[in-house]
Amino acid sequence: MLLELKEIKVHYDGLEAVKGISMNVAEGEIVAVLGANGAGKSTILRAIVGLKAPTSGEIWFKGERIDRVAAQSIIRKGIALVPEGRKLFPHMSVHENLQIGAYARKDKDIAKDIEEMYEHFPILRERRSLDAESLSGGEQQMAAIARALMAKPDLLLLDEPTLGLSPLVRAEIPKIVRDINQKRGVSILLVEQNARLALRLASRAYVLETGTISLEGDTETLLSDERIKRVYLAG
Amino acid sequence: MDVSLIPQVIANGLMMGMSYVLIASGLTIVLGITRIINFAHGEFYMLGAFCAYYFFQMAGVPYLVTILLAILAVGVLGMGVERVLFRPIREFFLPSVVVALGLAFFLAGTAAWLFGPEEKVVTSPFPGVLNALGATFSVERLVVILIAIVIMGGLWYLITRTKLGRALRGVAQDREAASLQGISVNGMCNISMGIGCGLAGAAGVLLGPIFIVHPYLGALAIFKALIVIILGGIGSMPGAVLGGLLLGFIESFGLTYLGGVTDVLLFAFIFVLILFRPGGLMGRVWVIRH
Amino acid sequence: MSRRELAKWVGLPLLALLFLAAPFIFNDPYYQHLLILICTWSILALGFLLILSVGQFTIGHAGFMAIGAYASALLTTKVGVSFWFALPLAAVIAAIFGAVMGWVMLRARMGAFLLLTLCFAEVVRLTIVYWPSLLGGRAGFPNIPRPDAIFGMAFDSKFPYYYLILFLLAVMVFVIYRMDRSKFGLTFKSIAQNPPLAQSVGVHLMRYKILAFTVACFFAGAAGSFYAHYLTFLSPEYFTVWKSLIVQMYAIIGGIGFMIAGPIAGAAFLVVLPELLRATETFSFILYGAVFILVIFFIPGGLLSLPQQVGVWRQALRRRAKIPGGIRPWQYLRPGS
Repeated sequence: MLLELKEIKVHYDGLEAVKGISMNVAEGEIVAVLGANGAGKSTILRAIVGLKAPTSGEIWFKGERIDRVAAQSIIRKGIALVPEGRKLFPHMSVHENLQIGAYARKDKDIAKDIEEMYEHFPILRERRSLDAESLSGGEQQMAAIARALMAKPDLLLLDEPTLGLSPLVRAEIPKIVRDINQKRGVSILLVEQNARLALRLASRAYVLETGTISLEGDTETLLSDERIKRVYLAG
Repeated sequence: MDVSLIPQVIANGLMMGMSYVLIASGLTIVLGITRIINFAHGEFYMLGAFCAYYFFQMAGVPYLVTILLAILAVGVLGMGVERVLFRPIREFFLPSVVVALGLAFFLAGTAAWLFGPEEKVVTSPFPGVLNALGATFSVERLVVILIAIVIMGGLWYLITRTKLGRALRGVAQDREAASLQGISVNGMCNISMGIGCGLAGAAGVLLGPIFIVHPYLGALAIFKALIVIILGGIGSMPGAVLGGLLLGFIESFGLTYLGGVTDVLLFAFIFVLILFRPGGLMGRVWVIRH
Repeated sequence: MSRRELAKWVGLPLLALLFLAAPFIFNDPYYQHLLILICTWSILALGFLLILSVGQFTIGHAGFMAIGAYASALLTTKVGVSFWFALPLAAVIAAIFGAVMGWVMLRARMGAFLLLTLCFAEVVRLTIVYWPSLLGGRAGFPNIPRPDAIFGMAFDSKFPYYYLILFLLAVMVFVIYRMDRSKFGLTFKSIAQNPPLAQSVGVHLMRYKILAFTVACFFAGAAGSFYAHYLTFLSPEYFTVWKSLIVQMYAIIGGIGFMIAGPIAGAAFLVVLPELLRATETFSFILYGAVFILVIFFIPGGLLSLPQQVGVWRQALRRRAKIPGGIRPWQYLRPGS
């Protein structure tokens, strides 16, 4: 297993937001986490990257326990997060955002990799010297993904990548995610409210309800599950 | 209005302005990255001035070496202060004000106790004068302007063109996102305090020989620096430069041609400025821009 | 009787008695002078805390004190009004300035508000400095008359001054106490701790903020008027931003969790401490600096939270745990809120 969560509990202000969750991501896999607002999806990601320490439980990554590792060291272990709301550096150019994405790297290929990102996302090359805050939502999402990839992670965590995007742009996201997974061999843990999109992409999924996992399994099985159909795929 | 004074007034404004820029840019860097209003910033400037007195005046260390020594000594002291006093209360506004103010009192008092409260004179390293444009300029002031420009150029390069500068700006703009890129927020806060205090130290050495050196120098310096960063926009580097030069020229012209009313008008202007543009003339609150 | 009732029915009267008897206990003009200063600065510190309690941090409160002081000095010397009319008039003038400036400034966020108050205080001080013909300028405003005798009590010793300022302080304490206990106090607390929430439940945020600010300025003006006639001399140097800052430290060091007792305890402690240690000016600087830092680090709730803090330490010792941060009322206050 690449990533393994064992009985993770997270508290916010004394309230239990995540109530003992176990999940895993295998190498090369795309795994989705579904659930409504406030189900604890983002909290799990924050716990993995060390922004919020879990109150109990263990997190293992590549055979190493990481639940007490500080956020700034997580990226060196090989995990990159594309946070909800993108969180680009608003007053830095797109180019600088990509450069800073490679902050933890020591090798000399950074310029080459930025060039590769521009090949992959041509719109970013056009916007390269603009402040990140002046980009549209879709462009920001691409820049954020590109920034995360600049760290050459083994595992990419995507937090609501389609949130706030226009339908046209939203339709591009699955292709981008699949590309990253297949061409770069990066495993992906995807948190998404849009269940239809997430289930189309992932091979396995976990369904979260108020801090606990209510359902898990292969996406085919889940897609045919009556409850999933009723609650998450209706309308 | 006496026109013949103008070249002199401009040179004076530039000299005052550049020294304000040096002091205020240090304050603004610390404020932008650690979000602490370092009320003790003026005391670091004062310590720089005492470096000029003890190293240059008493020990005979060469002027330029004294500047480097002061940057190093005051910068390292600043980093120590950040580590011990500022880091634990960085996230909280009220205690940070109290601790910074306490530090200012403590440093000023300690300096008065160690160095004596009396005023000290540092002899000018460049005593000559230069006659040009029908006016007389002191060489020392021109040198100060020059060195200040060099230091600010170096700082500009560091902030905008290097990996460290990007990391500093990253922390200023979004701490969480910065730590996700592998940047140590604690480390950057520490470095920013080193840079900021180093700049204050350099300003102290540059201005020590021009003004008088005494342990209570800091109160006025921090006050001016605050005005500068309010004018320019809090946490904004170009703002600190613009604000510093503006204040230098306003004071220089105002005091020559208008008298004391300038100060009143200045504060009234700043008051209106904050009301209508809380971000200052440039930039935005809490952001270090390129 | 519960501990709370005991404090209310025995502790408070005892404390009041102590305040009333203080100038007799310390029957020496210099000590009495210190008592008077404690009361004066307590009024300013209480005002600062009142403004802080609606979520704003002022560093220019001395400016309003200056307005009261100079207004009163002008009224008595140039207009010829008796001190007993000049004092309330000066307070009202300061309150009017406070209401107008509050209406203008309180819209700003905490960081900007802090700078606005700084600018306002400097405009006031510099106006005094650069208007020597009316306000005495840098040289000061001399020959301010002492208050006329009242109830057969002439102002020729420290006693009447002390009881006058104590009376002003008591009035302010009463007003703040009533505000704190009314629906108002609850509103204030909700504003300070969660402005968006307070606004969303329909609290007229601005009205409360302006009221708190105006009350604080009214008493700062009254204290200023008293100060002018007590010293019989005024200088713009009494009203610098540093003065404001130090006075505010009184409130914070005393404990901002204690609306009334905190500022008074802080003022008493910080005024008396250098005297107790016979500190020179230089040494008082070091002392103040050290006290500010040590209190924030070790008694973050302020001096009055010491009993609770000791409890926290003992618990930690018993559990052999790392000593926790303790009581930190200020964690609700962030810049930008």
